[in-house]
Amino acid sequence: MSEAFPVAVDVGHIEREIARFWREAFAGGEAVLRACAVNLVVACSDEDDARAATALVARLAERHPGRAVLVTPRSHGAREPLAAYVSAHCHRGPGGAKVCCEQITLEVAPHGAALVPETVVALLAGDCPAFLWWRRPGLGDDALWEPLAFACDRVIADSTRFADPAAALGDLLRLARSPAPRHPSVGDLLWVRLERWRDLVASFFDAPPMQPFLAGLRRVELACGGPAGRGGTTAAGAYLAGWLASRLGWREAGNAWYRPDGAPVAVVLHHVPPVPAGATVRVALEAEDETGRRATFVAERQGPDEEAVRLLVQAEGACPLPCTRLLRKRDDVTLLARELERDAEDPVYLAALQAAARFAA
Amino acid sequence: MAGREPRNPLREGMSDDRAPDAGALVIFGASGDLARRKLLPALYNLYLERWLPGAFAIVGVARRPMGDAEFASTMHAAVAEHSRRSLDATLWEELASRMSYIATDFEDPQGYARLRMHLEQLDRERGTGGNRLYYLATPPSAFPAIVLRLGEAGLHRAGPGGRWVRIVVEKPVGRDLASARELNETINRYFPERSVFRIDHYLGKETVQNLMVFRFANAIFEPLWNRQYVDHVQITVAESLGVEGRGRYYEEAGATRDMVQNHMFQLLCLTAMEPPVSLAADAIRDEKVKVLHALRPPEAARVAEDSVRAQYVAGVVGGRRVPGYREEPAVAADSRTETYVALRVFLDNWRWAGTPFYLRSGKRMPKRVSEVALQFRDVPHRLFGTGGRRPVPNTLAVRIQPDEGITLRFDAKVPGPQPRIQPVTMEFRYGTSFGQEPPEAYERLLLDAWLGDATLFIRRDEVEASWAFVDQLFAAWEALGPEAPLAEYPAGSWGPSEADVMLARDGRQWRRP
Repeated sequence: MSEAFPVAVDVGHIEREIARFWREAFAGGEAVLRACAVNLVVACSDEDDARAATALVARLAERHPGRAVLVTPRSHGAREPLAAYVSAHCHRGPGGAKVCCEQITLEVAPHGAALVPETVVALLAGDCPAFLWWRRPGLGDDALWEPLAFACDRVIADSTRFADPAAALGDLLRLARSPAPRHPSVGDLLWVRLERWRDLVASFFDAPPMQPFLAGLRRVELACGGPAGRGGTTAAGAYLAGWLASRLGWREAGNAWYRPDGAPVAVVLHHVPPVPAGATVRVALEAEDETGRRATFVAERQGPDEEAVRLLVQAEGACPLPCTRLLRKRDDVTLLARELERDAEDPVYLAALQAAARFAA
Repeated sequence: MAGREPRNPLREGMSDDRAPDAGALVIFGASGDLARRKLLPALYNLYLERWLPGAFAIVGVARRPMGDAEFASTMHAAVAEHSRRSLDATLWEELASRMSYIATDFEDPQGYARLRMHLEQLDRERGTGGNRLYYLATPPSAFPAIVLRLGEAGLHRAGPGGRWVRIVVEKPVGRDLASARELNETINRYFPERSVFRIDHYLGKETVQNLMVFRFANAIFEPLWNRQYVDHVQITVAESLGVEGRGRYYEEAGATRDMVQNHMFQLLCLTAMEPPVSLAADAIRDEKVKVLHALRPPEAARVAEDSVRAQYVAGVVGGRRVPGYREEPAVAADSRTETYVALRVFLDNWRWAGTPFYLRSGKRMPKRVSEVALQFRDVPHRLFGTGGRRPVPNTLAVRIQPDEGITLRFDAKVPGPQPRIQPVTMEFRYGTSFGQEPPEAYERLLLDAWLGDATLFIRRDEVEASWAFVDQLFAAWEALGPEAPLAEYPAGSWGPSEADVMLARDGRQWRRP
């Protein structure tokens, strides 16, 4: 990985400046391949966050080469409303060819915020999907949220970054359910992060003898980390509960949830502060099938920082071995790369989000 | 490719909603090279990726006497050496706890009685649910005995409460049509065709699967994919290795049986087939079989023009001197086994009538490369001069390995006042566009067999149709007499000059991959 250092450019002529940047940055050197398959707009919370995001974008460019547009607040020298810089991220592709992608950084003074959406729209590379990676601390109360979201094809948030999970999930749901004829699809890195846990929970019920227990779940306990809202509800806990509820057809009535057969399901969400935000610590399910057989299903992380999860099933008439599954750590680049591979609505996610917003409320 | 309907509603929308049933995998030939180098590393990676079911067991069966612990220890070393991912101690312990071993001669009925009792015990104690996946990783000579003994022991039926029994058969399936039929009949005596999974590991390669995606998921190529626009097709499967100590096997096989009958014909089928009506296994395999049936049978009168057989002599590969084929261990000094074969074949069907497909495969070539290249017809009238350069036709090349990807070569204008043109290449490479490492072919194939998805496996009629062609080819060669010339090529070259002449007669030349 190498990088051409940021060069200040004239905001009014950024495209022209980019062309010049490419000519000058690599003049006389070896040939480079300028690659662009996606637009990634990154809304950063501050300058430190922009530096962290730049490092991630550089790594991401190896998997998803594209044009990155970073939008970051500027706290110093704020006479001009916007300042722009161009830089490049390069890596060696197969066969040793140098593959480079460009990054445009827009520094925004407080009085420049209103200029951002149109400036960003003009900078999006044509014929490539546009993704908004939202890293700022709030959603609906941020003036940039809606204009930038609607400028893109897909919005990728990370619910673990928001202090109020209920508000965040509600804002994401509102965007996803927008009546506008053209609105972005919505994704959440936390949802991707939970994919492994959803897979583990689903695996309890893959074997045909276990499937009758799904319809007979009567108690669900979920222990997760991250910022918690009312009653200790984390976004991770709400998502997992919402996913189960939406897949299994549970209905909410009053403050309780009911299975399709009308029996109640007790859903208990625990907040575990010391673990990393969004991490799931324990999922415990109790069920009874239609013949009265009882079963418990537990998936438990082996220590706060461990990647190993112990699975244990206790069911009358079945004796699968307890086992450990290794959840290999996936950093933000890996999660984001997964999200960039999807630009359409995910109906399973939307259904889970809708129920999750109810659990978090 | 074809997924089953998810039975578990929690699987809906997951990246792969196919979940394998609980079951026991029984590997015959578990102490052998294939198990150590490919199968156990694949199983470990599947376990690591959580593709294996919650309740499963791996039972090794082989002649070599050893206990469960020694088997697990041997496999540990094998996985440590050959897995694409590093070994995690905790996970390995768990995988090893599901391994067991039965030492028996493959002919011995007592061994199968023990296997039966052992599998029933696993059903009771490990929840393997009576489902069985038998993997024949033995030399082909052992296949019939294993199948017959399995049947006689009643092991071709699912265990108590079981839903399925499947059998995976490694290549080669026979060495000619008669032996393939005989083996298939033996297998089908106990295992119905839907339970038989014949492996050609080429079909497990991502790029081979991508041939269908490329053709049938994109609207722009298929209209050109026919005799009207394609001048000819070249399929190359080149190896830089020699026989690597397998001289005895190779003397019996040769390049035609070892590569053409299986890998190359699979590439030919995927390149030439019509769009299937669905991604169901039989829908795809039906179309592949039609291609094989459309192959024009070789004729003695034309075989000398339509084929070249050759053997490598001493040369230089990878910067070192290597011996000729006849100097390899266990190879006869007067061997006439071909280490290189080039064929010109035609498909007598609507789409490809008159379009030659040139196939070549050889050992000890300059590099290991597999590719399919479609060379398009020239423009009807050349407006632009080539400035003394030979016209270069448009070529679409699908690289199977290594550097997997697709390139399209076309002419572009050289900047400047003169109307000069120059060929340029538009290139897609997996490694650049997808940063993730593709799984090993055996991972995909083992998982599909466990899931019961036969799409990437060879059906009986495919095997027999390909052997029918190869038998006719050998008959045509034999008709040339025992003194018919066997060409030579230096190790490290792209084959004999006779192969160049074969194309030159048609006004064409081999690509340099």
